[in-house]
Amino acid sequence: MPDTIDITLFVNDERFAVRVPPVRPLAEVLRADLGLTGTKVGCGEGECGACSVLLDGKLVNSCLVLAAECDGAAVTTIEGLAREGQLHPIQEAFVRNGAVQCGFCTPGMILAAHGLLSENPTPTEDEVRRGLEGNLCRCTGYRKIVDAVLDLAKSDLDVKGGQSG
Amino acid sequence: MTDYLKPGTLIDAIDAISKIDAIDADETQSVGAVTLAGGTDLVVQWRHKSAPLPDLIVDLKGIDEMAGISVDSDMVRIGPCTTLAAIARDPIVRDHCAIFAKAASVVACPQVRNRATIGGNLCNASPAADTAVSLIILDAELEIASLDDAGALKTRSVPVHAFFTGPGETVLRRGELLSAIRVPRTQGASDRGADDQAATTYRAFEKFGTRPSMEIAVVSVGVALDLEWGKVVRVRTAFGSVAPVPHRGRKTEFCLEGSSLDDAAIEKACATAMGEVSPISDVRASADYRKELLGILLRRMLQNARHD
Repeated sequence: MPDTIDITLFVNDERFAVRVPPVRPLAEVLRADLGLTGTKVGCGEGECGACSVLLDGKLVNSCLVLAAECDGAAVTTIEGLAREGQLHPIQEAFVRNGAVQCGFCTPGMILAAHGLLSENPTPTEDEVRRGLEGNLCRCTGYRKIVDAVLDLAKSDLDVKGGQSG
Repeated sequence: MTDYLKPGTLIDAIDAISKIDAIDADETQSVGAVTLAGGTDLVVQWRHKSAPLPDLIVDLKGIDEMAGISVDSDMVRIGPCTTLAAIARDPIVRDHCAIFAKAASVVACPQVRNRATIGGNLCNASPAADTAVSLIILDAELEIASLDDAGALKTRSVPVHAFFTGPGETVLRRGELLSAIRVPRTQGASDRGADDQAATTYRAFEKFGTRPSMEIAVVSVGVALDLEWGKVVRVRTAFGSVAPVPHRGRKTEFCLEGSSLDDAAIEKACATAMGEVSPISDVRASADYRKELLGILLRRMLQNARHD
């Protein structure tokens, strides 16, 4: 039986051919094999949301997904949101609202906000809190994060902005 | 060493787990094949080494008929690889079995619901499984597929309440796969005819945890009641996290049948429910606390049913 399998990933609109052991989590492939360290690994068991990415447009914990399951899939990480030096509207809203403390949870929070706003562009505060329920901030700075997402909900921006996902 | 396979048909999937199972019989150290759906429990177990790595991972997500939701005249059919997120927002499920949608919507968080499947949630057989409680009171059935001697597909059906045999254990035998979840359509008012004003239905699912998100239920309760002229003509109750398996409250149901949901009947039902469960004390709650909560939740729900 083979020790590894060959898969193709489309990460941030770029094609990657990688050889992975069958039980290697997507998060490790993104960070170690592709060098995309913007995706953080906190708990490694789906409790904290730091490793959130969009997989074929759906918000998932990349520590709970095997890379082998993602053959042919499109993955959007935090590195894929800014375009031509221009921050994504969600990133801008986080900056504008001071929604960053130590920054470790921020990539996951922004991807979770992306997942929420692409399904529900005008969430209420309660819906924002529900939408971010899978993401922990150990600095406990939730207020400004919620404000940043509500800011976008009010601004009527198309947060998808033509991005993959 | 672990291999990974993503079959495209149910027959190929069962064939794969059956062949490895056959090898397994000779090699006592071997774990054989493990089926993978959403992976939100399994990948964590592998990481913590609380489950050994199998020889073969059989990923079920490549099988078209294993995912998706359809409805016929009697039943809503849900493929076991349908995600909890898809169930929670599906118009058919919300229309015909709304409390199942509600139960799916309170599991974990969006990241997990986008990945976790209904089949995985059931086959994982947690005593706390939110979806199991809702499916028990809806009289859902599980279709289990296997291959006959000629290699053709055959199926058997079990009611959800009889699927679980212990924590993490089900009636699934080697070479068998859960192939469908079938939920009877809720008979809505429009199906019964407008003149039947005396009949009402009540379906509810409540989950109690110490925080609203990312919580495994301390206690969960499902209640389904059909009333005619204020009397209970049909009742189902189910309780989560208070027994080794998601528990159908048959004794509680017996108490409520034919009653008018008066205070005495409700108190008797709550006492019966607290008596027919066998919770454990663990990190989330003590056994006594769970029993007390069960009585409180059930009382509130039955009082709501009376007022509806």
